[in-house]
Amino acid sequence: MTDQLQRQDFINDAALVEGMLDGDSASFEMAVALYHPTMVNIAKAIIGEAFAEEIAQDAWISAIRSLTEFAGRSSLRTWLIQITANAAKTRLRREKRQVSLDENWQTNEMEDRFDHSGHWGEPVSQWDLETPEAILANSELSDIISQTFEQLPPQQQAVLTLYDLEGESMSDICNILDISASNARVLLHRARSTIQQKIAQYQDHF
Amino acid sequence: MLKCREIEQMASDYLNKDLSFQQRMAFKMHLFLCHNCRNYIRQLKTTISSVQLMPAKQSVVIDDKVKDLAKQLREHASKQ
Repeated sequence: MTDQLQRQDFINDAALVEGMLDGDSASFEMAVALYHPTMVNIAKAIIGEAFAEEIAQDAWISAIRSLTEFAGRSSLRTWLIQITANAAKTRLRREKRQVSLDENWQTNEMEDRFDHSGHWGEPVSQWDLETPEAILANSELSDIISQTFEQLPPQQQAVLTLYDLEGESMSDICNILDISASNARVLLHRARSTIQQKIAQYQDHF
Repeated sequence: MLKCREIEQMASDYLNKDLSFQQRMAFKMHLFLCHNCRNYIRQLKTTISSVQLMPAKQSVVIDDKVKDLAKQLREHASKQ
């Protein structure tokens, strides 16, 4: 059975942690539903697909072991991301081999949108649906955005999550994911640009 | 003068305020003269805001996989 809960029904981090400490099953379910996908993705970005689910589950166990130490200095999501990233990096060192990381990120060139002189090949129009609210109110477009987000290569998705959703600084992101600043900037722009192009394709044929 | 291609490549750094003063001025000069790039920057800004708004608009799905992992974790916690 699948339950759907609206995010506005969220309980805050402190209440969620308290519920978990009390052994409340709904709090555990909510925490897993909210944060597990991000944790798996962070692990994928660091160590690759094969170990990601296992790392995320190990990270949960570590997190639960130290739940009483969660002081709320960061959000629960950021705290879990850090635990996951540390677990993935430890495992990566133990494996002592470079596992397949987001192999396509360098070759995954987007379609060239520019002519030989460096100008836009096609005019860039103003979108009919101009505000984020209008865009997300369109269910097809909203689905396109979430599907595109989910299909982003793991490192791109991780940087986008940390920068645009979590508001982490670039230097923290480089530490969490063990990547250089220039890589992080390229990954962020590729992720944003992929989503922008999908929205543009939809709006151009609207 | 920057080309549109360079504007596209620098766009996230511009929006993140990660450009040097000189780069920023050159970027703004191009935007002043190029409506395609002005539209592109507006589109990219709207994209970022839409991504940021997305979690608030989505429902949280608690399926069997979530319930199984949650149950395992709860059992683990109760053994501590």
